[in-house]
Parts: sequence; structure tokens; C-alpha cells
Amino acid sequence: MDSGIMKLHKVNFYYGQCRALTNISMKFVKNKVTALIGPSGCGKSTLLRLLNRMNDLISGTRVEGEILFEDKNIYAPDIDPVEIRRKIGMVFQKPNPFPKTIYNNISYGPKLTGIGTGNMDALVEQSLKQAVLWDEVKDILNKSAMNLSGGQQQRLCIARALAMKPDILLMDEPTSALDPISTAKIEELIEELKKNYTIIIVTHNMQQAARISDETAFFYIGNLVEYNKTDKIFTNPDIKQTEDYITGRFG
Amino acid sequence: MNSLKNNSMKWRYFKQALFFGTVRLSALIIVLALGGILFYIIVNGIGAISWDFITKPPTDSMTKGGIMPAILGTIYLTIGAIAVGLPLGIASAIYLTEYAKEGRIIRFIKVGINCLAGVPSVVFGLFGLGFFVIFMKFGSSILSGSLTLGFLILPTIIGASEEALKAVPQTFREASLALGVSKWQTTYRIVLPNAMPGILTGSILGIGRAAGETAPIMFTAAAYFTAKLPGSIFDEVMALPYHIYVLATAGTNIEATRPIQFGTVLVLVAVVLGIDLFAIIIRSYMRRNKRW
Amino acid sequence: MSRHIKEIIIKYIFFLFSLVSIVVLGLIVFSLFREGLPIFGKVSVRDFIFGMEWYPTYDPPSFGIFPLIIGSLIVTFMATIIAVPLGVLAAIYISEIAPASIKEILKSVIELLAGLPSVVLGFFGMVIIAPWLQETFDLPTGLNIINASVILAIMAIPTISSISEDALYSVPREFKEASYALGATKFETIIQVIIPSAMSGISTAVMLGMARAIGETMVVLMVAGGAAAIPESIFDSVRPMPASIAAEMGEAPFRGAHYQSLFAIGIVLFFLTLTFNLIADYVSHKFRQVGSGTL
Repeated sequence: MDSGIMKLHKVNFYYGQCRALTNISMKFVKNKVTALIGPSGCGKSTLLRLLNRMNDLISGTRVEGEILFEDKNIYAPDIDPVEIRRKIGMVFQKPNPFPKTIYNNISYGPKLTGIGTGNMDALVEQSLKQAVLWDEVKDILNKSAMNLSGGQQQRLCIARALAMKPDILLMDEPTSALDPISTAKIEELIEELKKNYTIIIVTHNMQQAARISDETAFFYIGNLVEYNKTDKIFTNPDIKQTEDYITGRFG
Repeated sequence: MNSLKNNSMKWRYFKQALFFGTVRLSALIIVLALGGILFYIIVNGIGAISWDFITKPPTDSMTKGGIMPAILGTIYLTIGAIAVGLPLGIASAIYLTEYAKEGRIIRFIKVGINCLAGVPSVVFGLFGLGFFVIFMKFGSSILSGSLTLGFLILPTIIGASEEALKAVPQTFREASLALGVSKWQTTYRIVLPNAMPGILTGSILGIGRAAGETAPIMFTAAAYFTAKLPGSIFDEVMALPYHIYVLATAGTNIEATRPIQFGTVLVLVAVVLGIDLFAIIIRSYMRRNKRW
Repeated sequence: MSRHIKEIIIKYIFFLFSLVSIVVLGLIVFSLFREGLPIFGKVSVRDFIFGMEWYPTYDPPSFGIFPLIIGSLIVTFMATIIAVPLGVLAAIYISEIAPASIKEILKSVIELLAGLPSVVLGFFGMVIIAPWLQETFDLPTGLNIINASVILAIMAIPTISSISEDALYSVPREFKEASYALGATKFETIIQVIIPSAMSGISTAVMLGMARAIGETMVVLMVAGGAAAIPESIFDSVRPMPASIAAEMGEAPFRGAHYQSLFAIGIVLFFLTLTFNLIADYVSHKFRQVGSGTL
């Protein structure tokens, strides 16, 4: 049974001469939440950014191996990264809404890529509802997004990404800059979202990974150490290094 | 032992006070220089200013009447300079900040821009004469003058645009690209609109410079006297800086036109400093009210 | 696929635009050489640059620009002597000592000073300073080296001050903190830590200020006096290179020898200021490589 929506095959990644990821092979399961955990600098964010080719923005980087999405290598020379990013969305660590109105933040992507030709109002409402933000902002849609609180801004960014109707949502430590209440709200909405989307989340918060993810991958210095169901990783990991990290012996 | 230490401390603080005094004096001298110059210009020039002065052409061999054609000429030349310099400058800056990768090419271009910034204005005048007036056969005209001035202020505009573009947070670009929006659309829809206020503010200083320059327009556009107002971009114009120069050094009636000279100087200074002050204030306001 | 190609085309269009500055520099050289080079068929380069007699309108004419070069160098040198202390000290004041409100005002004053058109300053020098000099020192004319140097200094100070200020501002805070932590006074920190650290930036500022002074036209045209001879005192008048070009171009017959010689002066002036700018650029680029070792 191959429900892997994204597959990595012997992926190596280099910043110039320095190898940041070594021989990564793994499969991401559809409609599940997969957490990438590991100590700082182990490459988990780098890996995440590989999946939507955001590392292309940094000069001097090199990818070896294959990353398959819909059975096509997204790093093949004839693939346009812009297309990939429409289907694989990303939410960043620090909320980054555009200095536009809430409505225009959401409609920006669909308008420019031609997705939302139809009922833009409905699309905006639907996206905001999915991000559990609609009730709080439905009366202030034409006010600036910069006036929202941190947690609200992050949910807005999630809504903005969802408006593109991606298949996969990548989240790079989405709650590390937020207060506990906002964090809880976002964790709740991730639970809901996985029904319709595949979510890959980088987090340095192990409790968060244990709480919300179905699968967990543990990385250490650019290597994939162990990748399994979350329950197993956190109660009975196969590899000693994983156990050491989980129990706080390092990292 | 203690008194020795105290004396040495006193001596150190005395040296500091002396230094600080000198430093403050320098700053004061500079302020007084500006103040003095403005004072003399205003005091001597204000007498000549009147509504007629600004709206009527000169009469009686420039000893009476107004300087309206010169004001108009300066306006035309300045608009022309902006029309040339602004698009080229913004486009250059966009390449340098959004597309270029660190390396020899970008260094080469930046050195080129710096060197262009350092070219003396009289050399620009010769360039305008040799290239636009003679080689391109535009003749002495608003066209030649605008092109010359436009390239003169190009480095200023590139610098201001670069700064404004860099000030747009990288995270906006990332957010836009992550949505699957293309790079050009990101630049055009997110980066450029957010940088535009800064670009325009910085460019306003370039405008001030274009309005006040004499040497670049001496051989390319300016005439001491035009019988009628310019009808096309191929006509010569009168211009404020050139008018001042000729009246003060080579005019037929230097002493008699002295009040008019001061008046013209006052008008030019008011225009240029007014533009600069406007830009400074807007920039300060924008910095305080950053939207992000 | 076509969007990909469109993006590449856009990138190359902008690349071409960014080459404008280089192209213009090239066109400047082209124009100067096209109109000026022929003079060296009539007078050798050596005689042109080192010849002591600038009599382009005599019959036969003489095209030695050495007095003009000396004129340029002297006023630039004297302007630098005046402008560097004032400019650098003002930069120190703004960057290290002044309270925030005064800082804002002073920076604006310097920016406005920079905005004053050169013809206005030339006019000021001619009409206010010159008579005062003439009276006070009992001179035949107040249009001379000292007048031009003072006015040029006023023009150079904003350049020197703002670039020095940038250099002082980029001295890492860690250096200053280390110095204070050792018990040094502010003055000692400034002299012994901050200024040496900013030295290459300050040198860049000085070089660019000097380049500004050498190339300045209207001021020297209206104020330096116009005598194309080597001066003997600071109260003598001189004719720096830009002044010659601006003053004489109007009367030089088109494409005659005089006209060509003026373009040739332009060539000399261009390469002189280019050298200053390249050196300043080299110095400042080297300086930017050396940062502070922060964690």
C-alpha cells in the first residue's frame, strides 16, 4: 500500500561545500500529520524547505537525489518551482502577513494565479473558517492585517496558504513565536485540517509533536535517525539516540 | 596616592571637555554657515520678490521685469531629468536587489555607479554637448539637457531605490513565493509598492540637484535669453541657475541687475531647499510610522 | 514552461537596465575622446599637461594646462584642510555625542547645505565674501584662492560628514563597550578605538570630498579669479580646470583647436576624478570585508 504522497529517495543537500542532509529516504503519508523533530541545526527546517523548493532562493545550494510528488521529481529541470508551491503551501515560524487588508491577504494568491476566479468572497470566507479565524475577523475584513495579534496573524497566514487549495501544508515551527493560548488554538485546527490536507510540521517542542502528530521523524546532524508512528517513537523508540533525545539527555 | 589618581582623572576629563568643545564648535560653524548664507540671500533678495517677478518675463535688458521663463525652463528640465532618471534608476536597482547574485558582475556594476556619481558636472556638460547635442544631433535643447541631467542624477536615484527595496522585509517575498506566485509578480505586487514611498522620497533629493545644476545645461540646453517660451523639446530654454550665472558674471548690466540676481537666487534656493526639506520631512514621517 | 521563460526574459531585461551606468560612463569617454583627442595632433600630451602657458586665444595659441592643474590642486588641497576637520568632527558629534533631537536637526542642516546649488554658493562667494576679503585684507580683488577654498569646503563638508558618520556608526558596539568596561572616558574611546576602527570609512569620505572639490565648476568659475597662472600666495587668483572649460567653451569656435583643448581638459579632469573614486571604492570595499567577530 503506497499512500506516500511525497517520497524522498537518497536525498543529499549541500550549502556550498557543506553537506546539511545525508542520504534521506522517507515517505510522507497522505492526510496525516508528520512531525520532524531533532536538536537545533539538525536539518529539519532545511528538509522542509526542500519540499517546496524554497531553498532555491539561497544561492550556492545543491540537491542530490529525488523528491517525488505525484510521482514526479520536483527537482527535475523541466519542473517549474512556482507550480510546485501552489500545491505545497508553507506557513513560517514568524507570522508574515502582507501589509494589506485581511481580505486582500487571502485573495492575493488566488487572484494572481487564477484560482479564485469565481466567488472570491466565498473562497476568503471558507479559508478563514478552516483556519478558525472567521468569527474573529468577519466584520473587519477590510482592516489591515497588521493590527491583528500574533496568534491571529499566524492563523491568517494559515488561511492564506489554504486559499491556494494545496495538497500538502508545510509548517515551520508555526507556534514557536506565539503564546500558549494561540498555540493551543493552532494545534486544534491542525487536527481538523488533516482530514483534508497532508501536514508536515517542524517543531522543536517535543510535547507538541507527541500531541498532534501521527508520524514522527527524528533527525540528528542531517541524518534521518528514526521514522515511525508517533506513539512508538515517544514510548518505545528503536534507536538509542532517539530515546536519549526524547528523554532529554541532549538537545 | 589618592590625590595623584584624582589629578590624573581631572586631566583626562579636561582633555575630554576640550575635545567636546571643539567638536561642538565645528557643528556650530556648519550651522552658522548655512544660516549665514540663507540670511544674506533672504535679506538681499526678498526685495525683488513679487508676483510679477515670478510670472512675467524680463524686460529692459534684464534690469526689470521677472524671471518667469527661467522658472518654466527649470521646471521643464527637471521634469525631463526625472523622466529619464527615475525609470532607469528603479530598473537598475530592481536588478541589483532582486535578481543579481553576489559576484564579479554585481561588483562591476556598483563600481560603475559609484564612478558615475563622481563625474564632475562640467564633464557631464561636455558629455551632453559631445553626445546629445552634436553626435545625436539633438542640438541645444530641452531634450539634450534633460538627458544630461537625467544621467547626472541616475546614481542618486539608484541609491535611494536600492535602499528602499532592501528595506522591504525578506519575509514578504518568501510568503508570496511560498504561495506559488512568480518572482516577477512578487516584485511587482509586493516589493515595489512597499518600496515606492522610499524610492520617491530619495529621488526627490535628486530632483533638487537637477534643478540647481548649471554646468550640465550650459552647453546643452540653456540660453541667456529666449524670445519666446519653448514650444517643443527641441527648443532651448532659460533656466534659473544659468540665469544667475550670466547675470552675475557676463550680463550687460551687472550692477543694475544685482537686485534681480539676488531675487533669482532666492527663488532658486527656495525651490531647491523647499524640495529637499519636503523630502526630509516625509522621510522622517515615514520612518516613524512604519507599516510593518 | 512559458512562464519560466518569461521570468528569464524579465531578469535579462532588468540586467540590461542595470548596465546603464556603465554604458553612460563609456559614452562619456567616447564623447570626450571624439571631440578632444584631435588636439593631441597639434600639441603633444606632455606639452599639454606640463606646459606652463595657457593662451588658447593667442596667435599662435599655447595649450599648456599645468597652471590650471595647479590651480585645481591648490584650491582642492586648501578646501580639504578646512573641510576635513570640520566634517569629521561634526560626524563625531552627530554619531557619538549629540543628543537625539540635536542629531536630527544637525543632519537635516547638513543635508540642506548639500542641497545648495553650486551657482548659489558661487554667487555668495562673489558678492558677499569677495568684497569683504577685498576690504579686510586690502586686496585688488576678493576673487582668489582663499575665497574659492572656503566655498569649496562648504560644498565638501556634507559629503565628508555623512560618509564619516556612516563609518563611525558601523563600528561594532562591542568595541565601544569593551573600551568603556576598561574604564576609558568617552573621549579616549573615541580617539583610540572608534576613529581608528572607522579609519578606512573616514578616508573614503575624505577622498570623495576631495573628488567633489576638484570637479566643482560654478564655484571656482565665479570665485577663483580666473588668472591662468601659477599663484604665489593664497590671495592670488587661479583658474582651475573646470573653470576654464565652462568659461571658454562659449567662445571657442566649433571643433577648432581651442574647443578640442577644452574637451582634452575634460579628459584629464575625468580621469583624475575617476582615479579618486576608484581608490575610494577600493578602500571602502576592503574595509567592508573586515567585520567584527560576533557570535
